[in-house]
Amino acid sequence: MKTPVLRLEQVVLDYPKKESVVNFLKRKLRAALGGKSKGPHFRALNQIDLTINKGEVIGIIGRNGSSKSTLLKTMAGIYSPTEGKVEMDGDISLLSGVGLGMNKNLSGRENIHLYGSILGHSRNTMDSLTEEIIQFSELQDFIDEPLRTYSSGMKARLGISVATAVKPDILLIDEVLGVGDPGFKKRSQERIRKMMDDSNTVVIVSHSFGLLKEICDRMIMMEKGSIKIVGTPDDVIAKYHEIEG
Amino acid sequence: MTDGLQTGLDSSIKSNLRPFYQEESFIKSPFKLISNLLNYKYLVKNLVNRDLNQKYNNAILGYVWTLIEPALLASVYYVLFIIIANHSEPNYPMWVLIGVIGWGMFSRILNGTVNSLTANSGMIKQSNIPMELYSFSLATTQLVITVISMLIVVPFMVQLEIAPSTNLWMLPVSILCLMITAWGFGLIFASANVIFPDVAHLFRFITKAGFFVSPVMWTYEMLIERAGSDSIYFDIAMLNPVVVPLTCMRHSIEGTVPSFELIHVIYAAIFPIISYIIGSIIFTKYSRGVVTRL
Repeated sequence: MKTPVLRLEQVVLDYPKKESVVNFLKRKLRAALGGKSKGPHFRALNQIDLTINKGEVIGIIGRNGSSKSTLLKTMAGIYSPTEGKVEMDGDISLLSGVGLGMNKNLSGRENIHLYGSILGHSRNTMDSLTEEIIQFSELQDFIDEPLRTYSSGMKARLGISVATAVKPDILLIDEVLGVGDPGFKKRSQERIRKMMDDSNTVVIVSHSFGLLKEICDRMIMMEKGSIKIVGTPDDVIAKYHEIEG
Repeated sequence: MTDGLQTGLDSSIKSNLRPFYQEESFIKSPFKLISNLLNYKYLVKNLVNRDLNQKYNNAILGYVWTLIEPALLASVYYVLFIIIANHSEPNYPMWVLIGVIGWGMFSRILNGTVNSLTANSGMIKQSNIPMELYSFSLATTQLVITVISMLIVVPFMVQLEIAPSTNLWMLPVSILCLMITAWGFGLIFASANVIFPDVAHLFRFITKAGFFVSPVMWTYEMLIERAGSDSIYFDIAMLNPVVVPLTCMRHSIEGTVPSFELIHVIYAAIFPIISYIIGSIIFTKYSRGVVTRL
């Protein structure tokens, strides 16, 4: 039984380009008089139709600038579409930019709470998960030290440990899995697999095809703001290599 | 090519899908903001904690700076005033100090809120937490700093032999009035500032000029004495929404009661409420739409 948890219908997203105040006001005036009101823009997403079902793991690939991240941010509700609609059912958590909002002067432990709350979790949830997060990140010895003493790998480990500790209904991941040493990478992948088992839905943007092939049910290839190919990981990766040479 | 994706669109499948941002009546916006703040109070606490830490952690004197800063500023203004006005009012240094603290909070919250979207663009583009939280946590941080700063008034009270009175209730009320006015007013312009950064420049100018037309270096009583309560200048000066709260802050410390006309008290009480209502409506309507411009 497939239950849709996220649906994009005819989604178009335009990034406005800079324009002068005079042009802006002229345009608004024209619009007020019933004329065309659209300013200069760059179309980042073009007619995206996509339905994601509960429990699915979807991988998104594409060249730089193919609007993969924009698509993910539109799914997360950060960008509201210029046209079309985005609908969802459940909590959505976007994991983008490891350790978003973390502060270098606060300790690792304080940052766990800060980052967790930025991801939208309550105090109770974070209190009950702190020990587990510390265990998973393997940062027990450093957890009460300020974050500025951490290496970038350690910061990333802490960020991923927090982000994957709570199980949102829909988890969107943007290029953050390829961090840490091989051992940690493997364990994060296991953790994501566990989230899948708990019938959570995952959408991942990544360049590591090996990982995507292993964990995804379906894959999408983006090109210039449109969905170019959809299919099984093997098919999509094969076609990607064909197109990109 | 997209066949595989369309399965979920089968109409026989029941779904609970709902849009991210429901078109709601603008009347609901003021309540929506409050409910967001309550839902995310843990985040607000953490952000305030982070900002306070950021501000004072590396300083040798740490939180003592919250006391030193207004005191130093006030002493400069005091010297200036003595030179210009040759005035010898013993309570004057304390008046300036209270004015500096109150006005400082107001202008920092106002400018900070106008800038809140542009200043937090990195986080806004990566997290879907309600965007009013950025300016609200900034306002709360400033509130905490102000409360700590007010302690510097205690030695002045001792020296001037002023005992705390029941009029102190006006102090928190006035400070909250200033905070809500600044936040609400800033919310009106925060989205516009993303499209035209000129807005922030304008507000920096307004708060700089506003310092002189607000009762920091002068007082409400001086205004009446010099301009007369039936002059047009008096009426214009009283349009400034911070006159009443700043004056009340001073009187609450001194244990006296300000002699306002009823209309001015009503104006000062309504201004923060109207600012908040208009601010929340405009912010809710436009803030999400400007994210692609950040």
